Amino acid sequence: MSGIASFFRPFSRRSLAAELRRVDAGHGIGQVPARLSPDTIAPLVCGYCSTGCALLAHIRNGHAVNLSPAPHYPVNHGTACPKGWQALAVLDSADRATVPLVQDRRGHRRRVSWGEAIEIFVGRMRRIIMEHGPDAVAFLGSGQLPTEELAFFGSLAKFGMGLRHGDGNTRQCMASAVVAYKECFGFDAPPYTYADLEESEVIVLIGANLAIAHPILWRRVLRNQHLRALVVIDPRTTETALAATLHVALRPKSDLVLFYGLAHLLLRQGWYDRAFIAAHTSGFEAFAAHVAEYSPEVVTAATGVELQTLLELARLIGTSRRVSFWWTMGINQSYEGTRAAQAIIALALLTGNIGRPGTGPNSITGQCNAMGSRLFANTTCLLGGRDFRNPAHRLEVAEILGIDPQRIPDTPGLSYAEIVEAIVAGHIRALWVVGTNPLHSWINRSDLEGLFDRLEFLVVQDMYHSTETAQRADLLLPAAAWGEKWGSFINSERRLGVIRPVRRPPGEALPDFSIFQHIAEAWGAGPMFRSWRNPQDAFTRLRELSRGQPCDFSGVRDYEDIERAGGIQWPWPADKAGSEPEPHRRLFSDGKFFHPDGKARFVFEAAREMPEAADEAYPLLLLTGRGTAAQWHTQTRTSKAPVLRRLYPADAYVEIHPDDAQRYGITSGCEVFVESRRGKARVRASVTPTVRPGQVFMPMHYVETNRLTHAAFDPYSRQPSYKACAVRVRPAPSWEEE
Amino acid sequence: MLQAGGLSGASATLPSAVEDFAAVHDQGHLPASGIYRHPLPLRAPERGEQYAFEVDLDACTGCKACVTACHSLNGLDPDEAWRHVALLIGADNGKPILQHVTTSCHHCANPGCLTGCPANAYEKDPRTGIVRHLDDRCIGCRYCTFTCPYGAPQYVPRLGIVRKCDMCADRLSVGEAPACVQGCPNGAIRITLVTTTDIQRRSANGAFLPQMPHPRTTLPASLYRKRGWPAGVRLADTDVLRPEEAHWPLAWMLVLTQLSVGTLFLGQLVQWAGAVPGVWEVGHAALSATAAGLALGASLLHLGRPLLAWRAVLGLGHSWLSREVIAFGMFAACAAATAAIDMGVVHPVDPRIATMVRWAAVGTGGFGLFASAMLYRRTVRPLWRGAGLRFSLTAVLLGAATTLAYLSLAPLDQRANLSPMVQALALTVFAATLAKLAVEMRVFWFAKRGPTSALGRSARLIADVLYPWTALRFFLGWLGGVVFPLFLLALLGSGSQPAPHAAVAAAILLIAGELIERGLFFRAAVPAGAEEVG
Repeated sequence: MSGIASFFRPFSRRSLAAELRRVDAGHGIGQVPARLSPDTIAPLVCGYCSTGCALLAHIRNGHAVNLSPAPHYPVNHGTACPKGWQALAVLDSADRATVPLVQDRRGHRRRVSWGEAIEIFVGRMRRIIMEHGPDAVAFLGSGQLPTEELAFFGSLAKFGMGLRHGDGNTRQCMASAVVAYKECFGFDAPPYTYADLEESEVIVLIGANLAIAHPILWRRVLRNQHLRALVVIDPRTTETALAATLHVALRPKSDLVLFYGLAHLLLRQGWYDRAFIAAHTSGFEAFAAHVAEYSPEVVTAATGVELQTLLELARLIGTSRRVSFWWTMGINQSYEGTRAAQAIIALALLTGNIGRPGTGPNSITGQCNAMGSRLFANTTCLLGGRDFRNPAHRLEVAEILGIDPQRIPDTPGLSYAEIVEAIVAGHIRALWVVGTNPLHSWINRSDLEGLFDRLEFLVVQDMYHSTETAQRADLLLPAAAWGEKWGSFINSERRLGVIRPVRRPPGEALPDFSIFQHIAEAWGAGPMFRSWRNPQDAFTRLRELSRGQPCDFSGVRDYEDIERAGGIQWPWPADKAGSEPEPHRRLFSDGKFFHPDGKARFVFEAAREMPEAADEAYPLLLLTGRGTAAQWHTQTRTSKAPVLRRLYPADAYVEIHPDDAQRYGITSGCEVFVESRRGKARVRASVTPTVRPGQVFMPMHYVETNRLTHAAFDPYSRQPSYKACAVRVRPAPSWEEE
Repeated sequence: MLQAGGLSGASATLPSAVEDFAAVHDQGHLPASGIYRHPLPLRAPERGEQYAFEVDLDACTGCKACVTACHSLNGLDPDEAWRHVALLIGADNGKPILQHVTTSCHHCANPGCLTGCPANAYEKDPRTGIVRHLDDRCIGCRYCTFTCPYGAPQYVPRLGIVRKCDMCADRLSVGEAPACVQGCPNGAIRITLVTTTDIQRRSANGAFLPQMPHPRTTLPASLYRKRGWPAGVRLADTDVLRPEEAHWPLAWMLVLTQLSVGTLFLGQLVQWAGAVPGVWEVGHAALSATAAGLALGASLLHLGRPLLAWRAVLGLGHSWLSREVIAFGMFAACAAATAAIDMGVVHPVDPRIATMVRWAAVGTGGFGLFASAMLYRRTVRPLWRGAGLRFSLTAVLLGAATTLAYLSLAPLDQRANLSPMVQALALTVFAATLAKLAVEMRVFWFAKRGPTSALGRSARLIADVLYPWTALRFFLGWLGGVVFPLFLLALLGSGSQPAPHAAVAAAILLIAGELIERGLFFRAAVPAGAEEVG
C-alpha cells in the first residue's frame, strides 16, 4: 500500500518536507514535529525502572502522540533513557492482548466475553479450592503494577478469596536488600536520596552497572563535583567500571569476604566512628570478633584482589568524610545476597556513613514500583510493611480496611521458589500470574516449562498475548498498560510518583484495577472492596495504612499533591500535609533507626562457597546481567519498539575472553553452544577482554539465558542466585540441535 | 530543558551568555571538570565557518538516549533513526576498552551525498554549513546511501524518499538545542563552530574516528574528543554478517543495459566481419533496443518516486548517476533508431545518417557503461571498486551469448555460412565466462583479511552467508559459459550444424547467472571501514 501511495505522491500537493516541519509547541517543551504538536501535556512517571523519571505525554485530541522527559522533575531534570523515550511505542504493538482468551487442551485459543471470562475464573478457582483447599491456588504479581493495584490484588487474593500463597517478581531483584534493611534498620528503608550521588566524596558501586542499567542516575555521578574516587566492584569491566578511578575486579561471589576484609582493615587502622557505633548501633563487638578472621591474606586469596587495591579501598572508605555505597543485582541476586547487603550496611555503620549528605548503604531498586510492591503487595509483608505474624498489625489493617481480622492470614505464605516447588509437588494446582513472565525470567526455567503444564488452571493477566507465559495460559485476561490507567509508584529513593491514562486501552483490555473489581464482585467479596471505587480511592486507603509506619505518607492528600511537589518521598506524615516538601530528603539524620531500641544492627555470618563453582566438566563461570540501556528484562515491551530493536543485538550472545576463545576454538561472531548441567543454548560468541578469563557473560534479556542458570537461593530472602553458575562453551556445528 | 543560547538573530528575550551561566551556577549544575560550556555557540557562523557536532566521548557511556530523543523530537517513522551509536571494543596493553560512539550526519565540507545526488536534493547551507536534504526534490534512488561513508541518509519506504539529520536547523535558528543535544543525559554532545580550513587540516591528518572511513573523501565536520585513543579497538558488530539489500531492479537494470550495449557492439563487429544471415536486419538491433528499454523500465522500479524520474538528469554537473541516466537514455533512443532503420520501418534520406545513428548508439552505450562503472566506484563500498571490469565483461559475455543465440536461430540454409562466426562467438563466450568467473572469485582472496575489513566481510558473505546463491551463480555460469559453448564448438568441429537450442539455453543460463551475480554484488557490498575509502 505504502509503495502505491508513494508512487502517486508527486500528484499530491502535500509537501514531504511538511512531515518533518517543527513548531514551537508552547508548554515549555520547545519545538516538536508539527504533526505531533500537542493540545496539552500531561506528566506521568516512567513505567520501566525504579529510577522513577517523570515524562510528559504530548496529548493531541485526547490521545498521547509523543513523549519527552519532564524538565523540572527532581529525579531526571529533563532527561530519559531510550526505554523512557520510547514508552509509548510499545503500547501500539499487534501483540497487545485485546480480548479475553480461553485455551483448550489442544492449544486452541478462543475469544470469550469478559462476563464469560470472569465466570470461568471464579468457577474453576472455586472448584480447585473446594477440592484441594485454598492453599492449592497461588498468585504472582509484579513490580510493574502501581501500588493501588498491587494492594487490591494482594487484599483480594488473601482477604477476599482466602488464598495464602502469593509472591511477586520483585523476589527476583529486591528481596535480599529488603531482608537486609529490615534486619539492620528495623524496616525496609533505603535511606538515601539521589542527590547523595552528587554529594559524595567517594562513591562505591557494587555489582551495579549504572551507565547501562540506570543512565539517569549515572548522570548524577558524572555531575558530582566533590568526587575524589569512584570505586566500582564488579568482576566485569563494564562501561561503569571503565569510568572508575578504582575498579576492583573481584572473583564472582567473593564479595562477602571482601567486605568483611575491609571491615577488618578499617578496625585495624582505627578508621571507624566509635561515637556513632556506641550511640546508634548494636552488635558491634560480635561483628568485630567475626571479621577478625578476615585478614588481608585470607581476603586476597579468596577474592583475587591484590593487597595494594584492598588497602587503597580501605583507606578511601576509612579516611573520606562522605562515602556512599550503592548496590544492585550483583549483590541481591546471590545465594548470600542478604548477608552481602548487610555487610555493606555494616561498612556504612562502622564508618558513620549514614544520615548525612553523600553517604549511605544504598540499594538501587530494579522495577518502577518495586518499593510499592514490597510495602503493599500483601505477600511477604502485610499491607504497609507490617508483619502477618503480628496480631496487633492484623488488627490495625482489619480496622483500617473494615474487615474481619480473622480473614487476615497469620503467616506470610510461600515465596516464589516455594510456590514453584509446591507446583512440582502437586500441592499448588492453580496459578494467577499478573504482569510478569516467569517462563522467561525464572531461574533454570527449563524446569518450569513442563511444570506449568501440570497446573490445572493457569490464569495470566497481561498487556501482551505473546509472552512465553501468556501463550500457555488457560485463561488470558487482557490488561491495560502503563499509560492507560491511573496509579502511583514508589521509586528507589522512596519517592511517590503518579501514572495517568494518556491513551485508551486497546480493544476490550481493562486496567488491572477494574479486573480485580470484577473478580471481587463475582467472587462475592464485593462488599469488602466497595470503598475501592477507583485508584484514587485506593490511594486514600494506602495512605491510612501507612500512617504511623516508617513509610508514613499520610500527609499526602491526593495525586495532585504528589504532582505539584514533583513527587513526594516518604516519610511524609499527616502533620506535614499541605507544606512543601524539600526536593531531596534522606533518612536517619537523627541517628534513630526503626528497631525498638532505636539502634541499627550489625548482622553477619561466615561466608560460604558458591553453590556451583566451575570445575573440570564445566570450567567456565556464567555471569548474567543487563545487556544494553535499550533492553528491559524479558524484552516483553522493549522488543515492541522498532527503534529500540535497532539499539541492541537481535540474537542472544555470550561474551568470552580472547584467551578462552582461543582455547575452545571460538572466533568472534561464530555460533557456540553454552552448556550447563541444566541445559544448552545456541548463541553467538562475542570475544571481548571485558570479561575475565574463566568467566563468560550472557545478558538476561534473551530467553536462552535462564535455561542455563542454577536454581540456588538466598536462605533468608529466597531470592534466586542468577549471577553465577558453571558452564562450558564450544563451537556449535550447524547440524547439531539445541 | 535547555536554556536558549544567545544566537545572533534570535529573539531579544533570550538570556545572555552571562545569564545562562549564572543560572547554571546557581543551580549547582556545573560539570565535574569545573569548566562550563554552553551546548550551543553564542554566535552564528561567520564566513569560512560552519556548525558542527562536538562529542565528548569520555562522557558518552552508551545509553543511546540521543537516538531516541532525535527519533521522538523529530517525529521519525517507527524504525527510522538519524543517529547511531557504534561500540568499539578492544584491549590496550591488556586493559579492556569499551567506547560507545554516537554518530549522525557529520555535515561534511565535501558531502558525498550531495555530490552523488542526481536530483539535486541536497544543499549545503552557505551560512550554517548544515547539509540539508530537500525531501520534496528526492526521487528515492538511494544513491546517497551508497556515497555517504557514514550511513547518514536513511531510506523511508513509506514515503519513497531518503531523509537525514538536519542538525535541527529550526531549533538552532531560535537558539534551542538540537534533539540529541537535549537528550544526552551526560551533556556529551554539543554544537560548535569550526572553520573549513580546520576541517581540511584535521581530515588530511586522518583525525576522525578509529575504525571509521578516512575523512579525506568527504571532510566530515564533526569533532570527537577523547583523552587518548587506545590502540587496537575494533567495531563490536563487525563479526555479525548481515547481507545488504539486493536491489533487484538495479541488478536487472545493470545486466540488461550491459547486455544491450554488448549486443550492439558485438553485432557491429559481426557486421564488419561480413558474415550476417539474411534475417539479421529483422531483429538483432531490435534485441538490443528491447533490452535497453526493459533496463530503463527496471530502473524506474528502483525509484521510490518513479514519477519524478525526470529529476535524475539534474545532477549532470556532478553526479555519475545523472550521467549514466542521460547516456543510457540516449543509447536506448539510438538503439531503437538503429533497429527501426535496420527493420526498414524508417528510411533515412541519407545513408550516412544510418551510420551516424549506429555510431551514436555505440558511443552513448560505451559512455553509459563507463558511467555505470564510475558511479559504483565512487561509492564507499570496496567491493564495487572492480565494477568497471565486471560490467565490461558482462557486456562482452552477454553480447556474445545473445548474438550467438541469434545467429544460431538463422534459417537452416544460411547456417553453414555462419559456422566460423558461431565458432568465434562461442569461443568469446567461453573466454569471457572464464575471465568473469575469475574476477568474481578474486573476492575470496580477501576472506583472510577477516571481519574488520569490508572486503573480508564481503568475502565471508559471499562464501558463507549467501553460499547457496553463490553456488547457483557459479553453476549457471559454468553450465552456460563453459559446458554449452564447448558442446557447440565440439559440434561445429565435427562438421555439424550449429545447435540453436544449446545456444539459446546458454544465453538464458548466462543471463540468469549474471543476474544472480549482480544480486550478490549488491548484497555483499558492505560499507567501508577504516582506510578503505579510496
